[in-house]
Amino acid sequence: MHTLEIKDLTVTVEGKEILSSFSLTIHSGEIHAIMGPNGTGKSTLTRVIMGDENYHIVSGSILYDGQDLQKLKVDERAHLGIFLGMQQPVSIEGVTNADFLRTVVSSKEQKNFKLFPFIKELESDLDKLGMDHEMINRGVNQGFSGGERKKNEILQMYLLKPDMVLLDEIDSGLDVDSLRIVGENVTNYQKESSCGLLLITHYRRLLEYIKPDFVHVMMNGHIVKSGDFTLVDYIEKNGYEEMEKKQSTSTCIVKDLTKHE
Amino acid sequence: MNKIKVIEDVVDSNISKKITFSLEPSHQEFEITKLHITILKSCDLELSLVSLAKKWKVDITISPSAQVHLYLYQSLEKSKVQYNFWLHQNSLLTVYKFQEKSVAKEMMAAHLQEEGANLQYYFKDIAQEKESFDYYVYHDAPKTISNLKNNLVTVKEGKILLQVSTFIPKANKKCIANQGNRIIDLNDKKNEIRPNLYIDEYDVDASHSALIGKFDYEELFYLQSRGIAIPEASRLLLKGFLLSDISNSKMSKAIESAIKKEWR
Repeated sequence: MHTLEIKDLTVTVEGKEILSSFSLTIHSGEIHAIMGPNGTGKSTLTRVIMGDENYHIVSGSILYDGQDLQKLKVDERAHLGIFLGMQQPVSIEGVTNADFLRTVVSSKEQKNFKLFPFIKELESDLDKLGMDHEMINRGVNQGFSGGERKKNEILQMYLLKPDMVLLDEIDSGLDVDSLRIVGENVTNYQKESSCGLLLITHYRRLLEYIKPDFVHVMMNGHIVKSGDFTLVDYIEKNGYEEMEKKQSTSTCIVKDLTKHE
Repeated sequence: MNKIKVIEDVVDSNISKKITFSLEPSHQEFEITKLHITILKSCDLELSLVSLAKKWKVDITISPSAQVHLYLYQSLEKSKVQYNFWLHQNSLLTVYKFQEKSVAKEMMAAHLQEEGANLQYYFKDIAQEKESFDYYVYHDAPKTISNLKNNLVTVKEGKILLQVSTFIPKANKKCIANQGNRIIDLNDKKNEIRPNLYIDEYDVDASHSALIGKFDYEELFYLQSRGIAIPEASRLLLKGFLLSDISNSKMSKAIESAIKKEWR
């Protein structure tokens, strides 16, 4: 049983506040989805959890099984079992996917790494994702379509077998067939591993394949509403505008109270 | 594979009739070793030059329609070298060059003399001392092509001045000229790239780029997020940087071995 606990997290980048007293707890086996308008800090949240140095943590904490993640480097967080599937995975010239994936798995398994089981597992995972086996000889994400890049992220998730998975807009750039494949594979992995899962998405369609236990709406750097799947229906019907109005009203009240003091 | 190896003034060669060459050993007076190679027909050639504190002049002529892969290994410590490539009609010269020891000064002039002449130039280098490269590409005829990609790394006392100048005079239409120059600075020394395009004709396709710096943060973050620690991530990125475009296994191994030696 693993727990990722984010408490009152405030984060800035270049002096601008992106996350504001953000709190969320994810346990193994739970699926959380965060939705919200563009620029509200959803991707920032995943990158801060992973340890991106471009963001400055002003206050609050990120704990994984009680351990303070702020004291750990990015690769050390990955070794704890945290995985971030990125919205825009970078392409790396000259580094073949095969070399990269082998390094990824051997970094995790250290002396226990064995090439033959690695190749067998890689081939099996490529088949699950409907990926061309030839792609492992190409540069990391080089010349990959949007869909191929996202599948490559899920392939790495399979190989690393993480306990806590963060997927940042894994559905962007996917056609309907690829979305189904990615959705089904993430669901299967989550069921098999009982990992904790945090999905960042704008669209209902991904959540039809990966059913979340909790849905959160994020605005201005923190969660403004949480609920179950019915919240997705509400957002689909009403958009974020109404919530935004309510939020700005409540912010005004808070500001007025501050003035009073 | 045809092979010519020159260590100081001593030649060891194994070549077919598609290649002719001559060597003029250095004179006391001028101290320049002159190597002339003519490639008559399509073939691959491995050329290795090894010396300490010498001067070289290397002329390589590619006959019309010949398609040549030249694998150039240079270990010219404290030496100066001047290459001249002469490309004739519809010839293609693809140069893969790896430098094992820092050259003091290198000049290269490529003369694309007749229509359809095509130079593809891939240079990989781990500079450990001060180095200077001065490259000139002359599009002396219409429809000539040049593509230079210089991927260089500085370590220890390595410091690079790279000047690449491409010339396309008026009336030489439909030429294609690209140069991509990148230095990864791993030792905080001051490097310089001067990418020059001297073009006097509108109907051409040309580009140039110059980039000096560290590895891209996003690339490092991506690798680290997969559990790869910074030293290993840097080694992987370095390998990719220096091995890109190199498909020849001997040259790949030479580059990998140099990387291993430098970053154990």
